[in-house]
Parts: sequence; structure tokens; C-alpha cells
Amino acid sequence: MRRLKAFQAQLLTGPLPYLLGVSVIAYAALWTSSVGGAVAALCGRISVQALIGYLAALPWALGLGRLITDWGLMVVAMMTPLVSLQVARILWSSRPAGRPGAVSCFLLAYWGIWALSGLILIPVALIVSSTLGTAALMATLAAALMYSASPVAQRARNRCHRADPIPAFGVGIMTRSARAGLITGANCIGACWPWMLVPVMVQSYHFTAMIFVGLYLFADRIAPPAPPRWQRPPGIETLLGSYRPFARLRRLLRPDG
Amino acid sequence: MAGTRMDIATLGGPWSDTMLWYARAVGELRTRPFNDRTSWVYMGSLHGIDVQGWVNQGLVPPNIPSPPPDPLQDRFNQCQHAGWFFLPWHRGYVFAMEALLADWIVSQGGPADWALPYWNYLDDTNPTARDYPQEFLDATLPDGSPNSLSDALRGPATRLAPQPWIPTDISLTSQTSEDVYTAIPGTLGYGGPISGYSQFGNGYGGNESDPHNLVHVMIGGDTSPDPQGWMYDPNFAALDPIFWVHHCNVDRLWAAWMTDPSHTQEMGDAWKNGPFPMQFTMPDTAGALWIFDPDDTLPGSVLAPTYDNLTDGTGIAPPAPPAGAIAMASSSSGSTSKSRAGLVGANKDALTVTRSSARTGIQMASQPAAGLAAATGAPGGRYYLNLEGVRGASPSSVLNVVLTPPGDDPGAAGPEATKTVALFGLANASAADGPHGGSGLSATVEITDIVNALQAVNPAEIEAHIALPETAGDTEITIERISIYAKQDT
Repeated sequence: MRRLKAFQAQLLTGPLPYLLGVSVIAYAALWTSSVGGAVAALCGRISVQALIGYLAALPWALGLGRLITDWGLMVVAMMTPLVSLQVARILWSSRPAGRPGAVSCFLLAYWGIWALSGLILIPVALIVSSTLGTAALMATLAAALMYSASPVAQRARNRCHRADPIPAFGVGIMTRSARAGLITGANCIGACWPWMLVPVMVQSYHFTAMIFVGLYLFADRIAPPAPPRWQRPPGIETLLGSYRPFARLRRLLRPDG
Repeated sequence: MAGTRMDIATLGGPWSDTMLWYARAVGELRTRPFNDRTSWVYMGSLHGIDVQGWVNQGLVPPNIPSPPPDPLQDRFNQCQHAGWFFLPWHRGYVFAMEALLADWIVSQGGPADWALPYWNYLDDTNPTARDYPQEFLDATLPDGSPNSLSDALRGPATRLAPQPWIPTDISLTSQTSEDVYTAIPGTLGYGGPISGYSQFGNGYGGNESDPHNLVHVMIGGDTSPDPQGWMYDPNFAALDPIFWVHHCNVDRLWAAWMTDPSHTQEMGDAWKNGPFPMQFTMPDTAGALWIFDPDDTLPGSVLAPTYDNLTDGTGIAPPAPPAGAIAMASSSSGSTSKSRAGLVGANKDALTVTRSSARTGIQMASQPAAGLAAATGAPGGRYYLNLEGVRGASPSSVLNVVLTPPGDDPGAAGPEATKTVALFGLANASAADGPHGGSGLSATVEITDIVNALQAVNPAEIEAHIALPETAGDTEITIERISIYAKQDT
């Protein structure tokens, strides 16, 4: 049970409980509101012909607000727990009066750049969904795993582990926090982008898929930095153990584990 | 089960039986190939490995054969530094090496209770305590055969003392000045701040800063353009046999610190159960891997060592409880219990430092006393200088910091205004694609007396003058921020 306790203790360290709280609120908003699954629903009903039609007529602009809200809440729900390190760094490198503003600027910038990534990722999702049809989910999942195993993704993941102090006084508190949010967000997109396509390929169990992908990305992020190379995706290593499938799970469940 | 670890100086040397067997065993482990987990080079790689550097120095062949598959994975570059796992990880590491050495020694008819000796370099009752033990200097053993204990690349020093490349001395200050294991961010603590599985975390604890880091840098040496010694670089350090007697003493200092009932050892779940998902992995005498958690290193646990003496050269006043006893208070909060700390001053911009002194102003809270009170909840307390996000290409580095009123000549400041910090493992911590993610290191040093004196002159700003030692060559390092934190017992 030691491993379980180690994981539990890590979840309770620093700002992570609060970030997980924000994430849960966003998940709940998606679950309860009508916008949840808007992007997935669009991907699910589109064909190549329909996509061409939409691009020509832009009728989907009528539902643009729903798409933006859905995508934004997805970003907040799935990506917020990944920045515990950076938020902790901001908290301990600032004075109490500057912390709310600094953390807000960081998170808004981080969420903002992730939200903007939808300008590319949602059309990509539409194209993949319309061209591959029912094979789109498996193809996207395979591509995401392949990408996570690549040195390019590891390089981006390494940069997600970087956290710098912010100024103690003046407007620099806000601007440097926002800059850190943008940089962290850009690196995070570099590390995780294919995974954001996975849940939008799932219509019936979209919410469940979001939770699983969110958990996978969290497992991916708590793995330590490493030299970039082809490897088993770190998220898989974290979840299943690095030496044989399910060994780590078995140890977690063992009384003396 | 190893025997009692003894002070080299009390063994009746040079070339006591214990040291002679140590030398022979090191020689034997050095003959074993890298793919043998009981080999000297494999054990060294667990601390850190620079493959190309090892090949260049002829330590391993160009195509290093991998160890055979093991249910647990080999974890090279595993050493935990600049964080709260520094002490427990190195305790497990020393235990593993001691077991390998003892196994061979016993197999050769050596003493069944052989244990790794420690270098008690801060024993002020021994005038030669700081001299390198003679066994690490002699070219040959008493029988004329090559001495593996001196077969290492080192700097020019033969005594632990201020050197041109590190103009400060080692001390036992943290043994008594730091009474809590876990550091609040921005302050020192005995064991370091909360960290994850990290070869180089974000801040050194008191024990790691001094004497650990200073001894590494003193022995390694940095006399550009001469190559730095192995102890200067974490990717080579554990290959030097003197590393192990140094770390044995560092471990003893922790053991002694824990016997003081006024000290608070970290006992929270996040520390005791170790990092997640990674774990600490060591080889056994058969070459199979085993794992351990920090909890296994505490007194009474399986990895806890036995020392002959926990008072001489430890700064802990006698009478201490029997060796191995745990007398300190414990914190299960995962934090530091009785103190609060906060930021009271910082400079504005990142700084580039070379051998020429760089200058930066540290803006203090507009009302220092009020700033301190706001940060910590009470006036007064202790102040700490933080060099945050330090990055550089040198394996380790040293920074001299002089604190003055704004505009003053640092050359006119007295030695009491100067602090020197050693940044062991700087290059590893700075590599963007290394096991640290490139966040660099942070170093913390107490400056209470300096701040109190300078605030009487100018409460709004303190000027920091920072330079590398003259011996540093053309090295250049950057510092993201220089800050001052205050800590107050509540």
C-alpha cells in the first residue's frame, strides 16, 4: 500500500488539490450543461460532403458559442491539473498580495493558448472524423500513443517541467506570470495535442473518454523529465509499471506493497 | 548485515585492516564489467553517468553492454539532490555499495563485520581530520600493488580547507542551526525542500549545502584549464573511492542530527513513501535489483546504519542516545510545523555572472518590519538569501556574493558581508533535455546578521555583488532571480 500512499500524498501536495478542484468543477459543468460534447457531436455527424458544405456555408457558426464553451471547459477540466509545479513556483516566489493576480494571469494565459489551439485542433478533428469515419477513434488513439512515444513529445514534456520565479514587485508580477502561462501552455500543447483529439472522436461515451484521457495526461505529466528518445509512453509506464504489465498495479493492491 | 561504521582516524592507520580491505574490494569491483550490476562502474552510473565522458576517459568501452534484463528497470542518473530525498537516497546508496564490498571481502576471508568507514573531517579534536586520509593518496598498497583508492581524478588539494576555487570553509552549522528537516521554500531546513523524484531539485538543505557540496567541490577542484576532478561532477563523483567515505560521514551527520530531541525529522507520507511514480532502485550482491523508500532508511529500519560515535565531529552535544536511536520529534504534516516564511525582497531581472563582479539591487518591502510581519505573521526572525534558477554549463560552480548598501564598493566590505555557495550538479540541472527539465538550481544561505546590519543603513534596498572565483575560466552562469526570504517561529 506504500505506493498508493505515495500517490495519495502527491495528490495532496502543494496547489494540486485546488487545481484538481477546478478541474472537477469544469467536468461537472460539461456533464450538466447542454454544451458538453458539442465538438464531439459535430465530429460524429460529419461526412466529407457535409464538411465541404459546412466550410462553404459556415452554418456551424450558429453554434459557435457552444463549440467554444465546450472546448474551453474541456481544456480547463483536462489541463488544469498538469500545472501544479508552475503554480507552486509562482506561489512561493511571490508575496501574499501578489499571489491571486499572478496565479490568475498564469492560468488565464495557459488556458487561453490551449483554447486557441482549438482553431487548429478542431478542424483537424473534423477532417480526421469525416475522412476516416468509424476508424477515426482508433486511428487517433494510435497516433496519440505513437506521438507520446516519440522524442519530439519527450522534448516538449521536458519543457513542461520547467518553472521559473516571477518578479516580487510591480507589474512584472502579472506580465511574467502571463508569459510563463503562455510558454507552459505552448509546451503543454506540444506534449499533449493528439490526446485532445481522442475524446472528440467519441460521441456516446464522450465524457468518460475525457476523464480517461485526462487521467492519462496526468500520469504522463508526473513522470520525470528524461532524455528525448523513442520509448514506451511515460503515461503508460506510470499507469502500468515500467517493468511488466500490471506489475505496478499488483504491487499497489498488495498489503505490503 | 554490515558491522559498525568507524572513523578512519581511529582505525590505527594508515592502512588499517578496514582500509586495506576497502582498497582491495574497490580494486575487485573495478575489474567487473558495466553489465555486471555489482561492478564499480555500474554503481557509479546509478549516481550519474556521462556516457561519452566515461568513454573518453577509458572508464568503459565505446559500446557499453547493457546489464541483463531485470524485473525492475535499471535507473541510471538516479541520485537525488537539491531536495528532501537527498539524505534517504544516499543512505540507501551507501548501504548498497557497502553490501557489495562486504560480500566480496567476506568471500575472501576478510572480517565478517567489515563496514564502510567514514571520514570524520570536522572532528575538531583531531588536528589532521581535514587532511585526506593517507590511503587515498598513496600510489600503492603496503605490499606494493596498485592502490585503487588513489586511482581517481582529483583537484590539487590534499586537505579540506578554503581553496582558490572555493574560498569558504566547511562547517557543522546546519547541525544546530536547522532544527526542522523540511525547508519552507526560500529557507534552508536540514534536509531540503519538498521535491519529487529529481536528480536535481530546486533547493539544497543545510546538510547538503555544507558540508556535502563544499567537500565535493574542494576535492574535485576547478583550476581552469586543468580538468576538474571526478568529485566536481555528479556524473563521475561516485567513481572516486573517497566519495563513499565522504557520504558515509554525511550520512552520520544526519544520524547524529536525528538524535537531538529538539530536532524535527520529516515523517509525512509524501516523504516516507518516496516519490511517485519513480522509486529508488539498487542492486543486491547477486546483481538483482531491489527498491526502497525513505521510510526504510529511518532509525530502526532495514537500511539504518550503525555508527561507533554520533558526537565527535557532528556538532551534536553528548550525551546522545545510543547509536541508531531516534530521539527527535517528528512532523507528519509533510511540512515544517512551527515556522512561517515569506518573501521580503528580490531583484528585478535575470543576471549573467562571470569572474567579473555583477551587481544587482534587491528591493526590499517598503516597510521591512511590516513586510516581514506580513510575510511571516510576526516581526523579527531569520533572513535567507536565495539564488533562484541558476543555470550554467559547468558540472558544478561556486558563487561569491557580497551584500552592501547601494553604491558601496564590494571590495571594501568585510568578510562578514560575503557568502559563498557551491552549486553541485549545475550542468545536469540546467540541461533542458536532462532529467531535471532545465529549471536550474537554487541555493539558499542564511544572511540574518547581514540584513539586520544593512537595513539599519538603507531599509529599502540591498545591493548584491556576485562573481565566480578567479579560477573559473570563461565560465558564465545566469541567475533568474535573487531574493530574500524571512522565517519566523510562530
